[in-house]
Amino acid sequence: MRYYETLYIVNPNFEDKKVETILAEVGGELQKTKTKVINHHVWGKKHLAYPIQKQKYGTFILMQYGKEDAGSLLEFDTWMKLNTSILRHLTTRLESEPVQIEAPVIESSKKSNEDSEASNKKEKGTEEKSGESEKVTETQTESSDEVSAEKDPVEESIEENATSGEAPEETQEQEDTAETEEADQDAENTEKEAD
Amino acid sequence: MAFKSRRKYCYFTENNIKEIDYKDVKLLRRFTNDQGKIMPRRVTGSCAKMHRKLVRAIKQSRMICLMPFTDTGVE
Repeated sequence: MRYYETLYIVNPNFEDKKVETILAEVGGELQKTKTKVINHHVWGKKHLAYPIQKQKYGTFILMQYGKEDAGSLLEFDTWMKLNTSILRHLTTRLESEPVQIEAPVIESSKKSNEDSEASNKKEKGTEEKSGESEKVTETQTESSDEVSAEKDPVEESIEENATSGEAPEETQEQEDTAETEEADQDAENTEKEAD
Repeated sequence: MAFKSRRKYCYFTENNIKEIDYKDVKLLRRFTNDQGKIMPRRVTGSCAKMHRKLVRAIKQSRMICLMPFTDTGVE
């Protein structure tokens, strides 16, 4: 079993329903190639580093999946390229099996009856997780006001979910990065002086 | 001029980071300058193995529009 990850950008002006249909489309296309989708969720609307098709913002969607046979993902790749509603996509191979973050979105979007149930479950899940990850967010805001100010609330909530499992490690890393940043800057300065 | 020698060290081996994720923009930003250029190894002090992985991650991040190819500060 090989594990892959595809991150793709969708036009930010699409409504939630349209995004859901795109999620279903992409998931359906991928299942033609005998893959098992593990994660498929919206990252949120983010500012693009450079404009793509005159769009300054984009809705990022992350999809992680496992593939049993050794067939190539070339067909899926070309399909993604030809899909006009997807601005850009990137597929990378994962070293290990990804952790399932939440209930797959595709199943809920396929069956309209289960939509409400699935969304309720998601809300419960996020509530539970948010309690655990409060400490992480506090430290983040303290250490990096600039970065957190730029982030959207949606994006932050996703990051909370992602980091909730590794809360203590994250805080340590934060402190370490602060120290090392200083060290790096000093190193730069010395370099310049030396030149 | 008296220079105080500072120990350069690889950030990744020091913090026991084995894999670099292209989605971790906050981390990758530390290894690019204001223009968005990748900093050389002699400045960052990272080991060759991890620098290769870092470069790969930054370039992937650029492709998916999370990081800029060039950042002149003008929007």
